Amino acid sequence: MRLCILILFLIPTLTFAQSYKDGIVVVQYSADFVKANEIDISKLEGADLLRLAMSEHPKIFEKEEIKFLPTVCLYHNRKLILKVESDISLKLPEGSIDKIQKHINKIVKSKF
Amino acid sequence: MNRKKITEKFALDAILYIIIIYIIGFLTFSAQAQVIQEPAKKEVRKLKKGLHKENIFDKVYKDILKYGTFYVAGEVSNPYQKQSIDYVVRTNPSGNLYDVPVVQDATEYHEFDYRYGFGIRRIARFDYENKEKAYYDGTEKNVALSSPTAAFSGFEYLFHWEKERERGEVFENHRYFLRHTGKNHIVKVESRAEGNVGFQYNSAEVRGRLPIGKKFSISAGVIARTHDQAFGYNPVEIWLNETDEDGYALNPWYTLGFEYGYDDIYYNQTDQLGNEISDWYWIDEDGTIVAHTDLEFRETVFADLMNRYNREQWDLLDAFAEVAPIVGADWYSYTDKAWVHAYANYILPYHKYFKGDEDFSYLNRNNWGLGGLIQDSELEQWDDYQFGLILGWNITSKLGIFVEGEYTKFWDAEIFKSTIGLNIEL
Repeated sequence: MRLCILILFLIPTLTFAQSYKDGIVVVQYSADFVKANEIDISKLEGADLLRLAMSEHPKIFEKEEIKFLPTVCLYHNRKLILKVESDISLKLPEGSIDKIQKHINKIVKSKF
Repeated sequence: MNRKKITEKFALDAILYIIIIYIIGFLTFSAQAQVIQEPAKKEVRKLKKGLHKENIFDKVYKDILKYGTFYVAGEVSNPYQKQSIDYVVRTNPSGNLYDVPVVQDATEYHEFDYRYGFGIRRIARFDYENKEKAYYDGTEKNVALSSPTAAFSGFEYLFHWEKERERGEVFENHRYFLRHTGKNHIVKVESRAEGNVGFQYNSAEVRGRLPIGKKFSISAGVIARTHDQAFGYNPVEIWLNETDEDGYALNPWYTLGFEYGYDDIYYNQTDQLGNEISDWYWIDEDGTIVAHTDLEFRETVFADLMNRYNREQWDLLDAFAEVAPIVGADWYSYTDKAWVHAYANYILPYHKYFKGDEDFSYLNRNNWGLGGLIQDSELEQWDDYQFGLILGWNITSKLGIFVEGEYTKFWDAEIFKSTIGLNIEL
């Protein structure tokens, strides 16, 4: 019986990986040469905020298929909810912050 | 093995399992064969939220009212109804006991049940919890109300009041809950009353919180709680066992009847065989016979009087309030495929009463004897704890298992509920 309970606890625990994308997270994928074109995600509320630099995390950029810099992604429990990419001018579209905030609000509201 | 030892063993086992889960959780953190290298904490620049200028009303709305719901709800339903109908016979209206009696329906019929109430709530659900209905009506049960940490940082609250009628009896219930959860603190105040079970509970707690990674946190602080019951104190037993120097009862059992206005009257009679029978019959204040013998009185009216006496004596006591240190732990991990939420609260055995007569407090629960409180008895501390586990695993798109359970031991009360199951989609 004890073994069964232990197995029940262990199996799902072992399948979990710690991830920076747990919860509601906004990640700004960027690089130093486009720093001036980043948006100020610190204005966003209700999410954990991260900035990842390409030079430091190239594998993550590859895994997340980041093709434009900067790119801002909103994740909820590791699921990609929204991806905002910069255009040819290396600038993120206007109103990106509002758009992301709107999606965050929607996620938070769904919890209540 | 006595009950206390079994409970202690059970609690130790449970704590052991929870510790094992946490240790394995930590080990898997470093042992996961990740395809990509995760950003180390120091490498990630976690952006601090900027300070925004906003007016006080916006702030109050955002911090307190946003996502809150005010509700008013009511319901009406059929009352409890026995499946069988009870009948009794009444003496014929002629007054002659031997005329054909009247058969009457004696089934107890209740008026319809109802419940109405109102409230305001802002309680976040954990990701594994679904909204029970498309609306709130005050009957919702959320894990966030018992787990140490919340699914949302900031203010959460529930102020609910209701009145209900069940089986013809009217009760008032309430639940007031306010909590503020921050990265490094938990402050919680709660008051709860359930009229139909006579349950009344108030608590307030302040804890420091230490998140360890994103999924695990530990907390420690103090908790103040109230309880109404004087555990171990049985007034009628003490009253009945009072004796004089010669060992004779000072309060013979039947004198309790006199205290409540009953009286016994001696009689003797001779039956048709010439046997003499003697006993006491009992009358109430109005002179109505309530029992034909002492034995009948003791088995019927006296049993109610004992409970009435106890209730009256307990009501003379003030409610109790005590404070004690509390520690807690909370593990929460969620993905669509699998989720685990394990939490534990442990109230350490350093309870200090600040309201109520300590002689009647839980510290003296085992110190009451037949003669009252045992002289020079030592106060006895105790452990209280609560732990819960919610676990779900969608093994495949068609197969899932789930386990849910919560166990609470507060004073003499043990409350537990658990569910385990398997879902196979066909």
